Amino acid sequence: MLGVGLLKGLKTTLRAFFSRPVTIMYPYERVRIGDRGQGLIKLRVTSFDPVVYKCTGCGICEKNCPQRCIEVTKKEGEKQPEIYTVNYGLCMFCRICIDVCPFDALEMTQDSEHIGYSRQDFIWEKEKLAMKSLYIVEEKTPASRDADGASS
Amino acid sequence: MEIINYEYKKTDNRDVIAAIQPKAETAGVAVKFSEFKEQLFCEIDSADIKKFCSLLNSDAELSFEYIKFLTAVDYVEYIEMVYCLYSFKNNWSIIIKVKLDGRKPVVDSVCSIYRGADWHERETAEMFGIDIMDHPNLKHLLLAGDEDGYPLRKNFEIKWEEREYIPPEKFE
Amino acid sequence: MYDEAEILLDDLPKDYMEVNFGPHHPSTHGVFRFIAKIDGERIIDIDPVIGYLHRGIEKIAENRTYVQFKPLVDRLDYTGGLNNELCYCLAVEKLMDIEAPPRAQAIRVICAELNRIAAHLIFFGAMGLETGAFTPLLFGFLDRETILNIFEIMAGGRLTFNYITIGGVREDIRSTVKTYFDKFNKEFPVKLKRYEELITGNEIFIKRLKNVGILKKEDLFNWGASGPTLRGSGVKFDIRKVEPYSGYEKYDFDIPVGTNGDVYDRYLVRMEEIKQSMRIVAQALDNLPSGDFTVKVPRIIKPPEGEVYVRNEGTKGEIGFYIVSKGDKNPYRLKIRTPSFSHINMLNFAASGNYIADAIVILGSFDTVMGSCDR
Repeated sequence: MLGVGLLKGLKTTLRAFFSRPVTIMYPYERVRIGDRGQGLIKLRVTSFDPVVYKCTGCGICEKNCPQRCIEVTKKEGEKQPEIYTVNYGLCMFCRICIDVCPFDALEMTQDSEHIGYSRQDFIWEKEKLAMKSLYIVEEKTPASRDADGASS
Repeated sequence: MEIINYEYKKTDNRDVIAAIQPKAETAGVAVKFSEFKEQLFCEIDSADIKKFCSLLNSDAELSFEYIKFLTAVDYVEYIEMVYCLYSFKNNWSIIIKVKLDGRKPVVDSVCSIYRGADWHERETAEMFGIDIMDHPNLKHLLLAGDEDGYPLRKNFEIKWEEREYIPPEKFE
Repeated sequence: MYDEAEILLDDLPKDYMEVNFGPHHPSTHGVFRFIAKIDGERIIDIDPVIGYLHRGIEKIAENRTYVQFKPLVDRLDYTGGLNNELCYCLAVEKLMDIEAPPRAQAIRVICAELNRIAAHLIFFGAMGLETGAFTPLLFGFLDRETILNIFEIMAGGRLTFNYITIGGVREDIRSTVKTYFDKFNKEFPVKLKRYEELITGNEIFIKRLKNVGILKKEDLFNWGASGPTLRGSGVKFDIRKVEPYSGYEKYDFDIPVGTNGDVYDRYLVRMEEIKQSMRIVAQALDNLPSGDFTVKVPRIIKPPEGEVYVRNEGTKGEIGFYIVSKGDKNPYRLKIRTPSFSHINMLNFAASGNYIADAIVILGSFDTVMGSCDR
């Protein structure tokens, strides 16, 4: 009979009408992304005074980056990066740099918001990259890595 | 419309060769078979491609009626056309290879046999500069047509343009 | 008297009109343009124009290593990124004679099938949108969101993952994935039933889709159609069954087929595939093998000389990678065969002779993604 399907559909619509909203009021309410989430890159630091990076400036991440957004240089004989910049305007958050790093010096954070007024704001220096971790990094055990930190 | 059911069938490349070889001989196509990782490659002369494809398509026993894709590979000295056909009936797939002259590549269109090859041929023609004969509509497909050279040839240089960043003037 | 009038009309110069759709038209699913030549309301000829999203991925691949290219594979068919990744990794693994361990294979199946559900939910929403109903889009995206949350826990990403690696997967699956999926599995079939009540049984919807764009299987073979488009015309063909990869032969699932070959059948096939995919994921999560989630692969991936073509059943049809290796770090040539390219090629054939409003529905029933068409 014509119209039965329409009425059945209307039932679904009515059910949705009286159910709770599913949207989130974004700037006021926030969803935390999972701890495997693809966020900004963080340079790990072993001590802050003086600043000692875990990075040795070997440049493996620079070579492996598909988007060529990382730039690393180091002085002769030193085991610290002199320049370490990430251009977030190019970065596609593929996590290859983290996978290839032999010193475990990079980490992906759960911060995904990055805005700026000019393109220069997306080029982050090593100080700014390390700033995301204002604490001394503990070695993460595989068990704590597997802890679920995702939202649902 | 009746439902045709295709299920997993164990295939052997020797069966495919045995089925194709006598028919190709009677049609006058010299085929060189080779195998790599359970895939069957047939190498034929570039003049025979249309004849060979129509044989494979129209023959009731072979019935290679589906073209997976068609492309070319630039080996600098020569260009190789690659046709990948599939037979639903027998679960056979073959890859036909045709060698073309690197400086002036010309090949017949298989568009009249496999209509699905239409855009694949257009794409190959513009990416490799291959002259596809008897194609009904050989216009540009993906590219705008203003690039110098053929993008997927090996001698096409990618220009990495390092643009200097100029900050915008301050907004008032 | 009547005959004379007929003759007079025929003698008049035929005035065809050309209508331009797109490139920025909501119903063309991305940046796709076609110029339709119409006679009154009927379409005579369609001239599709593609290439607005052409990024030269095949050329980029020649200048990147195998690992560096992998993130870009997600961006082909961005509604089913993990299916593309799976196909690419299978192709490289075939070149290198690697086989992923059973646990990785099961995880890959879970990924691929969940992504299939997500992609089909977009189709469900878009199909409603094409016929003039906006509600299905919201419902479809709502449930897709739950799947994307599962992906976020499992793979890290929501649309672009880079999760499946050559030789396995990037990280092991979490136990919480099962909890979330079980919850989803409990709620979703009920919801899906309601959605089907909403539009599948709707008379207007059926009238719009039934007996529109009927395609015969012989034509579909010739045009290189695959996936649900082929199955809608009564061809029970699925690469998961015919050429099983990644351990699909272990799972029990059915292949839905249509009988008429019209748009409505293609729609029903996809809705049924959602249910079958749910079955596969539930089976895979229940019998998850223990062991490693990846095999050891060399740090620098250098496949030996040779060429392979590997295909799998993507969300829209047959995805295939043809890789020619010369033993270098980069592929010598990489060709991507995508279902959307073949299906849009077929649009002129499928839509000619139909009404102009039906052309949109027919294009929508192929479920094309321009990112995968233009590459």
